[in-house]
Parts: sequence; C-alpha cells; structure tokens
Amino acid sequence: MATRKSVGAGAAMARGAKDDPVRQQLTQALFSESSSRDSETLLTYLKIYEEEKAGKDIRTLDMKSLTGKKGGDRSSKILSKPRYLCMTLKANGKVRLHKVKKTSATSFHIGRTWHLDEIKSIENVDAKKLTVNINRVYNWVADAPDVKNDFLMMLVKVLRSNLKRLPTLINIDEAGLLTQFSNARDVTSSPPATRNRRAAPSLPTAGAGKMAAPGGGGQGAHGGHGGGSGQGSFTQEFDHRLSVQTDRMRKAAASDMGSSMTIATAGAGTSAQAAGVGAAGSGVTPDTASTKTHDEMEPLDEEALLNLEELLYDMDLSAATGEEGGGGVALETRLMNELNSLEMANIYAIIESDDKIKEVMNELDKGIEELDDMDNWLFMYRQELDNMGDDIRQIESQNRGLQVQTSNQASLLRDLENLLATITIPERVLETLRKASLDRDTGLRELEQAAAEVQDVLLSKYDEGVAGMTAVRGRMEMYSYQCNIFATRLFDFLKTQLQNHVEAHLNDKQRVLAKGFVVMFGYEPLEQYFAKYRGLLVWLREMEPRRYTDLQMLYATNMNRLYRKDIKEFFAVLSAHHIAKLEKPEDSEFIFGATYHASLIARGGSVLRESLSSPGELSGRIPWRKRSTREVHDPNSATAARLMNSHLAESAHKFAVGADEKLAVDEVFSQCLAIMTLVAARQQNYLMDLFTLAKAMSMRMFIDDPPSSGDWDTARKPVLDLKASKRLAQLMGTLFDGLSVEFINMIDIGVKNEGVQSAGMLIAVERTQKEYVETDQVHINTMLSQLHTKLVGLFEKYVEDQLKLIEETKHKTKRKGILPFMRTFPRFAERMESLLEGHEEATPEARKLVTQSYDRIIRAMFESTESVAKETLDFDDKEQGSHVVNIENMHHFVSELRTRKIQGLDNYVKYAKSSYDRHLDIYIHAMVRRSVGKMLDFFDGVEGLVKTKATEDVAFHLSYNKQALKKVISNFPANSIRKDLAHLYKKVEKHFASDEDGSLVGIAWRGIEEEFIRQHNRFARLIQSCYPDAGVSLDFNMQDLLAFFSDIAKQHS
Amino acid sequence: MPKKAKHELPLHKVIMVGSGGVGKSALTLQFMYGDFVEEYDPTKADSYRKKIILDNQECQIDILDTAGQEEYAAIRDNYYRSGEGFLCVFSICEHESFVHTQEFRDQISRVLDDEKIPFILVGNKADLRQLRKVSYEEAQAKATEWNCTYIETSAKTRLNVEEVYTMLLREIRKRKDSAKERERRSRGSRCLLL
Repeated sequence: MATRKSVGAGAAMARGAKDDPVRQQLTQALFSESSSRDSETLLTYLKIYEEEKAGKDIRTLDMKSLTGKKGGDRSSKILSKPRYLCMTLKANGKVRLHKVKKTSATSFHIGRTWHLDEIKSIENVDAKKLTVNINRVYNWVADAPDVKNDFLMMLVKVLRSNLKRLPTLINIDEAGLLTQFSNARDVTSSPPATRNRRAAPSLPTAGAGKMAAPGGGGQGAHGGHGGGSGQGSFTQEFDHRLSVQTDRMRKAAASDMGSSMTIATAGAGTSAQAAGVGAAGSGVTPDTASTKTHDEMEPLDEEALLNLEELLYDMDLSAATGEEGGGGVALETRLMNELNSLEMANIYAIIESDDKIKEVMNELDKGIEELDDMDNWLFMYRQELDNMGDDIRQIESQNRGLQVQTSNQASLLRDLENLLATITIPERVLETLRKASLDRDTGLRELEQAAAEVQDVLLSKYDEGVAGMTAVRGRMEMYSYQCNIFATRLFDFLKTQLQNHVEAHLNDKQRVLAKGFVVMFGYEPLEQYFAKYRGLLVWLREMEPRRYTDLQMLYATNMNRLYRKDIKEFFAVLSAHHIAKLEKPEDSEFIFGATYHASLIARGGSVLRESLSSPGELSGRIPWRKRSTREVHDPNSATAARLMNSHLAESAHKFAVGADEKLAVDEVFSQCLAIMTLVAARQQNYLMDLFTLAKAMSMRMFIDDPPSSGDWDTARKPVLDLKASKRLAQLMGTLFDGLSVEFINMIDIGVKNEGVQSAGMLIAVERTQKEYVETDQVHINTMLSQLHTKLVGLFEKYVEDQLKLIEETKHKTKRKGILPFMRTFPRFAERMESLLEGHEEATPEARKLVTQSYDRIIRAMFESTESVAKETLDFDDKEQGSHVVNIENMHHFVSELRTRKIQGLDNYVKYAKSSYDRHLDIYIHAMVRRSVGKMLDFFDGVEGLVKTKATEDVAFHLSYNKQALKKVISNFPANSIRKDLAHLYKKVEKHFASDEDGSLVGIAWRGIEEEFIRQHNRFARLIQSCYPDAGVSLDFNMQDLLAFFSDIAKQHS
Repeated sequence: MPKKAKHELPLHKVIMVGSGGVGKSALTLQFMYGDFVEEYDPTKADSYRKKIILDNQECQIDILDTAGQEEYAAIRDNYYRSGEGFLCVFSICEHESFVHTQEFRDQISRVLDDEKIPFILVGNKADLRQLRKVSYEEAQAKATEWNCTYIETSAKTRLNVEEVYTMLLREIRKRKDSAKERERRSRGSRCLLL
C-alpha cells in the first residue's frame, strides 16, 4: 500500500510536469516520426543501471552526471552507468527493445537493439533489480520498484501477445503485477475520469479536435505516470483501456465502438483513417455488444466527452504554460504523436483483447500443434517407410544372396553328382567282382571290365578337397575292401588251379620216358589256360603287389616241380642208356701218356662207334647240324595219341638217338643244352607275357590295347629294365633250379670218364652262348657262363694232365719207337678241329684255348722227345738210337699232321720236318762212316791237303803217299764192302724196327746208298787228281757198289 | 604241395614311401640285387622278397616299393595297411620332396592310427653333395619332431643302404617281440583268472 501511495504521489508529480521530459527527449532524439521512414514509436522505457564490474571512478562520474540531469532520481544503490531500456513499436507492428545511452543533454545513442524473441529469460531479482538474458545476462537495476514492475508487466504482456513462446520468466508474478498495476490505476485515474465526465459538456466542437488527441495522450501519460516514474504513457493507457473495456464488456456495452467513435469524432481530420480502422477492426464486437443494451452507450459517450474535455483542458493549460510562439506547433505535433500512439495502442488493444482472436490463436496454436503432430506422424511414417525400404533392400540383397547360394548349391549338387557318378561303381560291378566265375571265359571278360572300372575309380586323381571328403574316402575304402576280397579270390583261385594243373601233369603216365624215347614235353595247355588271366594279373599287380609277387613265386615253385621232374628224368634216361662210357678212363684215345691201342678199347655195345676219328661220321653226329629236324613229331609215338585227345598240341623236343645208341658225352651234352635252352627260353618268354613284366600298365590299358601274345619260342632282345630282368632271372632260377645241376653232373661224370670231352662240351656251351648273348635270357646266359667257366677249367686241367703225362714219358723205361703222345696228338688235334670246324666265328674262345693247348702240348712233346732220344738206352749205339728216336717221332708228327693242314701247326710241322731231316742226315752219315770210316778219314785228309797245297804235292805227304793209299784201299776189298753193307742194312732195319709201316728203313737205307755212291765218287775223283800216275784204284767200282745195294734191296723187298 | 620251411621264417614287411624320383626303387634294387639303376622309370608298385640274416637269425624281408606319383594316393591307403615298417624317402637335392614327407607321415599315421610304427626318415642321393638343398639339421629336426631316426643314404654308392634296412628290420622285430610278450602275458593273466 505504501508503495502504491508513493506511486500515486509519483504519478501526481509526473502529471504535474505535464509530460515526461526523458520520454520526450527520447522520442525526439530517436523515435520521432520524421527521423526515418521506418520509424518506431516509443512505447515505454525504463531507466536502468547496468551492473558491471566497472571501476569506482566511472561510477562516481556517472553518478554526478545523473544527478545533474535528473533530479530526484538518485539512489544510494546506483552501481553503474545509467541506460534507458526502450520498448518500441515499429511500423510493421514489431516490438523491439533498445538499450539507449545518453551521450549529451539532448542526444541519445542506441547501444543495442533486440527483438523480443531474442529474450531468453527474465528474472525478477528483487524490488529494483531484474536480470534479463538476451544473448548474455544483463543485470539491470531500476530506480524504483513500481516503475520496474510496470515495465515488467508491460514487457510480459507484449511478450505474451507477440511471441509464441515466452522466454523463461523467473520470479515474476504476472497476476500480482497486473493487480498492482490496476490498483495503482484505479487510485490514480478515477478522479480524473470523474473530472473528465464532468467536463464533458464543455467539450469544444471544431478546432478543438486538434488538441483533443494530445489531451488524451496527456491523459494517458498521466495514467502511465501513475507508477510514479517517467515511463511511456501508451502502455499504461492501453492497459487502462483494457481494464475499462473489460469492464465495459462485462456490462455488455459496445464501449469500444463508442470510444473509438469518440476518438474518431474527436480526432477528425488526420486520424479519421486510423479511427476507421479501429472501428472496422472491432466491428465484430460492437455488433454483438450493441445487441445487448444501447442505453449504456450514453454514459460512456458522456464519459468520453468528459475525458476529452479534460484533455483539452490540460492542453490549454499546457499551451498556456508553454512558449507562446511554438506552443501550438509543438502541441500539434504532440497531439499527432499521441494520436498515432493511441491508434496503434487501440489496434493493439483490439487485437490483444479479442477473445475470438485468442480463440483463433489458440485454435491456430492447436492447429499448429496438430500440424506438428501430423508432421511428427508424417516424420514417423516416413521413418517407418525408410525402415521398410531398408528392410526391403536387405531382403532383396538377401534374396540375391539366396539366389547365388541356390545356384551355387545347384552347381555343387551337379559337381557332387558328377563326382558321385565318377566315384560310384554300380552294384552289379561289385557283384561281378564278388560272384562272377573265374573259370569261364565270359566271366573273365566281365571280371576284367569290372576290375578295370574299380581301378579307374581308385586311380582317378582327385584334388585334395575331394579326396579328403568323408564320403569319397569312405567309398574309396569300400572299393579297396572289395578289391582286397577279389584279389584274395583271384589269388586263391589261381593258386588252386596252378596246383591242380601241376598235380595232373605230375601224375601223367604218358609222359614217362624210356630208352630211346627221350623227350622234353611242352606245357602248352597249361600255358594257354593261365594266359587267360593275364589281364587280371595286370590288375593284381597294381592293386595288390604282394599277392602278385606271391603268385609269381607260386607259379615258379609249382612249375619248378614239373620241370625238375621232367629234367631229372630226361637226364637220367640219357645217362643210363645213351652215354658212351670208357671202362677205364685210361682207355681214352686222348690220353697222351697211355699206350692206347685200338684193339684194347672196349666200349661195349655193338653199334657203338669205336672212336671219333672219322671226321665224316663225326660231323654227321654233331647235334647242331641237325637242329632243323630236332623237333620230332613221331606219328607212331605216344605224342600222337595225346594230340588226338587234346585240343592243344603239346610240343615235344625229342633227343635224337637210337634205342640202343650210345653217344659221346659231349654230344649228348650239346643236344641237351640245345633242347633245354629252348625250353627255358620259351618259359621265360611266357612268364614275361603272363605277368606282363615288360611293361607297366593299368587294367584299362590292358583292355583297350591288349599286349600281343608274343612268339614264345623266339628269344627276345634285351629291352627290359633292370627290375624286370632281375625279377625274371629270379623266377627262372626258381623254375629251372635243377637244370644247371644236371648239366654240371653230366659234365663231371663225362669229364671224369674222358677228360677231353670238356672240349666238346665247352664248344657246345660257347655256341649256345653265341645264340643267346644278344637276348634277354639272363638266366640261360648266367647258367651258360657258369658252365663255360667250369668247362674251361676242366679243359685246362685236361691239358695240364696231358702235359704231365708227356713229361712223365721221359722217365718211362721204354724209350724207343714212336712215343705214345706222338700218337695221341694227331687224334686230339683232329678231334678239336672237327669240333671247331664250321663254328670258328661262334667259338673264338674255344679256338684260342685249343690253339694254346696245341702249343703247350707240342712244345712239351718235342722237348720230351728230344729228352727221351738223348737218354735212350735201347740201342747199342746210343748216339744212333737218339737219332732214330727223333727221326721216328718227327717223321710220325710230320706225316700225321702235314695232310691235315691244321692252322697254327705249320711251324711245328716245319720244325719237326727239319729236325727229322737233320737227324736223318746225321744218322746216314754216321751209318756210312760206321762201315767205311778209315777210308773216309784218309780221303778227308787228302781233301784237306788239296785245299792248301797243289794236288801233285799230296803224294809226297808222309801220311798220304802211295803206300798209305794202297794200304787203305786194301783194307776195303769189294767183298768186305758187300758184307758190310748187308750188315749195315740189318742194323738200320733193327734201328727202325718199331716203325709200323717200315718206311723209315727204306728212307734211311736209300740215304745210306746215296751217301755211299757220293763217297765213292769223291774217293775216285781224289785218287785221280792226287795220285794220277800211281795206278791205284778202289777195290770196288761203281758198278759193284750198285750191285751190292741192288742185291740187298732184292733180299728185303 | 605246400611251401616248406619258408613259412616258419619270420617275415617283416617294409614299405617304401616318398615322392616320385627320390630313389625308392633305386634303394630297393641296391639292397635286393646290389645294382644301381641310373635311368628313371616311375614305379607303380613292386614287391620284393629276400631271405636275409638279421643278427644271426634268418628271416625274410618283404619290400613294397610304392609309387611316388600323386595319382596313386587313393591306392596307397590300401598298401599302407599291410606295412610293419616304413622308409620315408626324400631327395636331399629336392626340397619339395622333403616337404612332402609330412603328407606321407600323416597318411600313414591316419591309416594305421599308430604313431609308433617303425619309421625311418631317409635322405637319399647323399652322393650328390654339391646339389644339396635340404640340410642335415633340417631333416634331423623333422625326425626329432616325429620321434624317429634320420639317416642319409646313397643308392648309387650303397652308402647306408644295408644299414637303413637292417635298422628298420630291427625296429620291426623289436616291436613284434614286445607285442608277443604282451600277448603271452595277457594270456597268462587270463589263465590265472580262469
């Protein structure tokens, strides 16, 4: 209450000043109508002090200046610079706040301008202080609480009407402010209102209109000053009106209309338009209002008139108190301003006060809210749509993914099906493997196909991923298992069949051999039978290498039983019935030391050839010369019967021998060798084909391109790799383990019986080696080279033995005649040559060996001969005996070998010949000397003298004079010569007694005869030349001598 | 007529494994026949049997020489099942062949499900020292990892050929003996239970 009273006092005081000078100054300086086109009208203002942390000096200065300008406006609490906060209304209806600074007595400067919507918050701090947040926080202190409160209320109202959203209002009691204001109004405005009403009748008519508006404004200003401070009158006025209007509405009277009419009437002229607007703007209300009570208009008009009157009064007063000259103009201006303000306030009031509008506004707000809601809804809807779009896109991409996945799965399925097709083996195939007969050809073809199919699958190359798949692995294991089972079945079947076949053959009585029937039968039916399984063996080789190897061994061991038996029997029959044997080894005609004599040889058997000395016969019996006819199919033999019964022919290698015939062991040996190597070679070829050892191939390859079944009888070139050849050699070793034993036995027995047989066997081996050396028959070659080595050794031993025998001859007692080795050698040489003949190319080693043996033997023989000759004791004349031995043996050697023309022996023959000639010459001379030695000596002396001296001087030599000559001649009378010659012949005959054909006696005697004749001629010639006149001659002349010899010849012819 | 005494001889089954061309066949042939083959002819599968004297005791060795080539991988399982001992061969001149030994080892372990099967890692072609690509240490480390022996051989010079087979045969025999021992013991205990 106290405040209100002071306000009222303030207002009264302000009214006393007629108008607020600050407001005027402000309006003039800043908000005058003419200042700019877009002018603003000052609604109200509030003097404030802005709280700032400024220095004290400034504040003091400000205080002084403030004190100077504004009397009464002082407060001990002034903190900072004074400013004016102005609320203005722009022409476009916008309300703004300005912070204005007073720069001089009359000039102001707008510091800052804000729009209402910039206000963030307003806080009522205490009675004087308020805080406004406009961009930043302003702390303002007003001079008085009521002024501040009024301003605040105004501000809040303006804010309310202009802004959608109020700034934050803190500690502002709107209702309280309003009532406080209204109370203040009531207190201050009622008396004038009554006064105005009273003065209404005296209201002037024309001309006073000009004054009326300012008067009203002044009135309003007075009302505004009810707050006690110099604030804008407009707001107070319109608030006042508002309250009045509200009051009037309550009374259901068209006061607004009336008042506006009043103003329009009062304003007339310039303000008529504005009033019209005002009337039009509030047209709605008067209509409704007028329907209520028209009577109440009267007092209102009355009141308005009264008001005007008062206004005018005030105007006059002010005019009277104002300056005389410009008072009217100023007043006009002021009035116009007031009018404008009024109009605007009016419009504003109309707008503000209209409930409908509020309603509309509310509705609009609602509408906006609903639109907002709708916007939200739409936003949400849109979001939903977006989400749905996202979902759709996701679904679409998922769909695409699914499609890719589906196609992937489809192709995976295809791949798997393909894979399954490739790895799946039809049940019938497996069934075939399990059940199909191995014994029938059709079954075999099926089995081969089935086995190949399984193998194809097992051998297919799968990449790691596929191979690692459980399904694949499982299948593979299953097939492997089936393969194992089939392999076992195949193995067991073949094993049984093999054993059955072999047993059948072993018990075959028709194969029994006998004397004269020595045959190696073939096994063609068996071979053909098992050859059918070649394909499956190829399969087995890869699938079950161990079983395959086991089958090979089984085949070899089982067939070995057959071959062992056959070979054993073959050799046994031969050695029992067909090998010629010496009763004693010494009986051999090829023993160099033995005193062999044809008559002594007893070889048993009537048909037996006595010796091999006949070359013609020998070559006829040499086995390899009859090779082409060796394979004998005798239609009358058991073989023929077999042929009738069996579809397949069994070959038969028959040994060429008569039933009771016996052959030399080397001949038997070479026939056996030829037959057995053929059999073995065939068997090896068969093995190679049966087990397809030459080439590694799969079952499929076998079916597609079956390897041709080669000619098993022809030896093949060595094309095998080491593995296969070793394998074959091993199998062959097992198959024919009995063969080389038999050969070695035969060799041993044969050589023991007759050493020289080693040569024949050696040559046979070498010949055979030549045949097989360029083939793949490793086993045969190995066996042959073993035999060869053995035979070379045996032959050399034989030679050694002979050399020993030759050496030993020296010490034998009998030392005359042809030495035994001399007799043996030609036979030996002839035998060797006949063996080698025609095969020089095939048997270079044997030839070399033989030549070497010749060499060694001949040297030994010659040496031994000469040694024996020297040491001979069988002659009365040792010297002659020696010559005789030499002559005899050399003569034999030469005569035996010269005709045979054996290569390499020529030199030995020549040597022997010269030795023979020399010894014969010496022998002859010695024999001549023996009978006419003295005469020879005498004439030798004569001849010696003749060489150094003249022939006629010889007779004068003491020893060789006529007497000496006569004496020598007398010693050899013709008769004694005749006797001597007869004796000499006997001697010669005796010397050569051991010479079988006796030719040597003749040769020697003829030599002696010739020598005698030559000496006789020499003697006669020497007598004639050295003793021409002595008349001496030999007792016997040439005629006598020839007669003597003739007689002897006659006696012994 | 069944085979004779052969059945009574203990038979030890050895399997040669390793990549193609490392010398499995060469080692086998050198051991079997004492021959060396220079030329290379890929093996499919070969089986060899030989009677030998192992520590004064006669026995038979059965060698299965397998194909090193990839395409025989499916059949290998089948072969491996019968193995009592393995020689896993690589060429010291070819590192890849050494790498491959792991696959063979794995396959054997998988098929036999037995980590302790007699197994020797064999580095062949030791005579070609100048071409060496796999160091001794590297191979030895692998052998240690597998808990087996590593040995370097030369099928050409016969270096360690006899030794490697003998070594493996001893391992096989030892394992068989201990297995027999176990069997006897378990049979004995069963008797006790009865």
